[in-house]
Amino acid sequence: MPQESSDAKRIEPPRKVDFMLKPRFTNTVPDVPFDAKFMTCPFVPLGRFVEFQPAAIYRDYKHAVICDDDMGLNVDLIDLKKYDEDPIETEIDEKDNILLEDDGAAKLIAKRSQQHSKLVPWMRKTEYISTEFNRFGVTADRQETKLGYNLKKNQQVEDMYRDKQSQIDAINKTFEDVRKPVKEHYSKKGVKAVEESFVFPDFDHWKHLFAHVQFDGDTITTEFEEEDERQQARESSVIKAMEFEDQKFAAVFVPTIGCLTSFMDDLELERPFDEDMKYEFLLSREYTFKMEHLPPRDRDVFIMYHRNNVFQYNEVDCNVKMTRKPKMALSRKSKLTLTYRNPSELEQKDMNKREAELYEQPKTRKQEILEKIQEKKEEGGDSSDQSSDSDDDKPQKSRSDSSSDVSSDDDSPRKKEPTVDSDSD
Amino acid sequence: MSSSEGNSDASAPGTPVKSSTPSSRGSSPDSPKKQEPSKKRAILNESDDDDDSRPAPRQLSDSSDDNIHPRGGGEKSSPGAGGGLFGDLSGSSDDDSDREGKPKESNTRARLSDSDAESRGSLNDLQGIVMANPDEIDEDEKAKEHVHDTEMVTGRVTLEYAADPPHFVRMPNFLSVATHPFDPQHYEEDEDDEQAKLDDEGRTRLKLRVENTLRWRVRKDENGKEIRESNAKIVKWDDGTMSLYLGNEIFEVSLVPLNSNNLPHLYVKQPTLMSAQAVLTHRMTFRPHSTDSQTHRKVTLNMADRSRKNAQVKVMDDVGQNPEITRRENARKEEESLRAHIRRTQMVRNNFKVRGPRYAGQYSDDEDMPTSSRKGKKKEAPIIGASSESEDDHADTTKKSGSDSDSDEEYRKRKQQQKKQIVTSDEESD
Repeated sequence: MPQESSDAKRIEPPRKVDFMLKPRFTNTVPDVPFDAKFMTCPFVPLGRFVEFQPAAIYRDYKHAVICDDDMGLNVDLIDLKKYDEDPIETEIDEKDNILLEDDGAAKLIAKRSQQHSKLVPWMRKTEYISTEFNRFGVTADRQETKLGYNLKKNQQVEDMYRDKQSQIDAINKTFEDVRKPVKEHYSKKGVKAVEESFVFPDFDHWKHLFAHVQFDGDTITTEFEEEDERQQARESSVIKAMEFEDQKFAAVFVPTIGCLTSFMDDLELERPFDEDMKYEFLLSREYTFKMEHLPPRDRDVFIMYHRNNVFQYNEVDCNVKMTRKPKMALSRKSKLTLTYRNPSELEQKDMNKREAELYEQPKTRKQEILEKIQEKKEEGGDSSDQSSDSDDDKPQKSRSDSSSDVSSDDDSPRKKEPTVDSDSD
Repeated sequence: MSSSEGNSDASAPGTPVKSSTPSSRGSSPDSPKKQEPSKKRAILNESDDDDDSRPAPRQLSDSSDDNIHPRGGGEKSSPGAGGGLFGDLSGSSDDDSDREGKPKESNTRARLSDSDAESRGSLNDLQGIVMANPDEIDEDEKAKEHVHDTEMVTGRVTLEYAADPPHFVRMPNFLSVATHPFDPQHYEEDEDDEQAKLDDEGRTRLKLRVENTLRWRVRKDENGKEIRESNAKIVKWDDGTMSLYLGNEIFEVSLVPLNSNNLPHLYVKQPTLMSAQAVLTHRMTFRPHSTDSQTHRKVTLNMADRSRKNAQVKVMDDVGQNPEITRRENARKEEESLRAHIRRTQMVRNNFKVRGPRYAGQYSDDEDMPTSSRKGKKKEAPIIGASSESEDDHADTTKKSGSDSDSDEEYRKRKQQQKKQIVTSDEESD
């Protein structure tokens, strides 16, 4: 084969000449117009540029040479010791050390990066006009103006708790951290702490159910001589559901002056009430009411007050909105006479139950679901009873609430879609 | 037990109601003084609404019913538990059922009311004679109708507050409250997905828990005594401001005054009514103390994650097959169908061939039974040949027999035929 290839190379193809003319090439340079002149350099001896004199560093430095021990030679003619580096470390000048350090630059860069990473929403990054005409409409993704960019860039994001134990540890830590005494203000100088009060639920009054009642005006129409009496009357008024001529409304009864006097006497004598006394209230206004029960789980509305050097909070069970009625069905001369007594056994039972709930652990979500299912079954069975009928109303409301939530969930993606469209536009 | 207690409670408040009626009768000497203001109010009512005079006779019966209503409601609803205002309404319905059950009591009450009406009527008659004006009688009746006195027995609830009234607090989304004591064994894990909480309008709302929750727990002291601990405290400063310390997190507390025109009230719900406890004048709000706090970061990140526009990737569950593969499969199916068709046609042809040899076989059977049967079983084609040859032989024999009359020739012909037959049999055997 190679012989054949060599033969092929030797054979040259025949040349074809269509035009009978031989090309002629000339490379003639014109003569120099004048003879060369040389100038003498009086300042520096020219020998310097011709003769090479190595510097001391060049002479003393030894390069690390890596070569095989056996370079194909059978005789040991190479002395490897001559290629070893000097083990002794030479001391370097301080200035050289500063120049050779790399950390200094890093520090400077870090300082700059701190300023650079700060988020200033109103400041935009400069956009240069692009030379490519096809990218005219494309807008660069400006990350610096996005929310949370600073936190993520500096890796200040802490992972959320992944398992149950870490959550428990975090909660236990809050109990320990809060016990540290606070002496000075965290941001203001010179401001000192006057009082520290821990936050607890109101253990004494937890047994009562509270209602947050909103009125659309003053509730008192009776004339009082002093503002204090007026305020006391407000704080001692009574709301009662009334039914008159097929009308259902809530009536606000305001205590009379005699009644207020009795209250003050009871307070002075340190007794809750006088069993033989009859407390009189007069009708002040009539309202149409709308009562809204707050769900028992994850309540957001509380009443907080400072008492006995402790901040105490209590739950609000329902929210009542009172709207003034245009015409009063009853005369303002109507009277409500109350005789007070100690709570009955049934009431006491309810109070104890509610107080016990404060110390018990809440039921798991699964248990709640199971109980709801059982309640539904029981309701189906006991539909004939009136009490069950009244109970049926409440779960129906809860069902409607849940249905409204579901519908709202459906609405939320609809709202999100148009925003996306607008962004695209 | 409960039913009997309820009955006893119902009966107990009943007695003061009965005693109250004689006291009202005892106050008869004061009646002339009371009559005068009632007249004035009647006149006022008349001036306000002239149309009221027409439905006056109907209201008479209504007023009598109403007089009975509140007393019954007061008595029987007192043992009722919870429900508040709704409980009262249900109590009134109970009254109706009780009336049906006990007609005697209702009759007695009606009699009492009737007697009162009669006594008042006599007084009115006297005045009427003096005044000689029937309208005044209607006015008096109107005043009676509207005045509505109620007597009832209830529990007294008085809460002790300090000089400052309580504050209304609505917890923000970065603070939660756990009213039950914290117990690691019963702790319910807070998952990231459940952080979201539905708002009143149904929108998803961030709700920080775990370490942003006001909690309390029970711990035992060195002496073994139980102590309550809290993970939050409120600090009051010199300059009058307050701060909430929740673990290491600090929140600024500020008191915002509420609208003074219609201040909300705090009431306690009782079985038959609600009694006021305090007027809420201020609202307490919480705010992280700076943007560097951990809480602010959590909320910011959550908002950032929401506002970020991620690349939208659509997941397709089922994607069709490759069209090229589909074409190949279709082609194969067509080819297979064609092959099947061809096979069917071939089968038909085979059936057509089979009929011929059977007919020939039958023909050959007439001459020699054993040899013909063997030939037919083994092969079909040579049978056809044999039959043709035999036919030719027959033709030859007929011609020769016609031309020659010698018996020797006949003998020879017979031998030739036998030889041919033997030859054919040999071929078949091979």
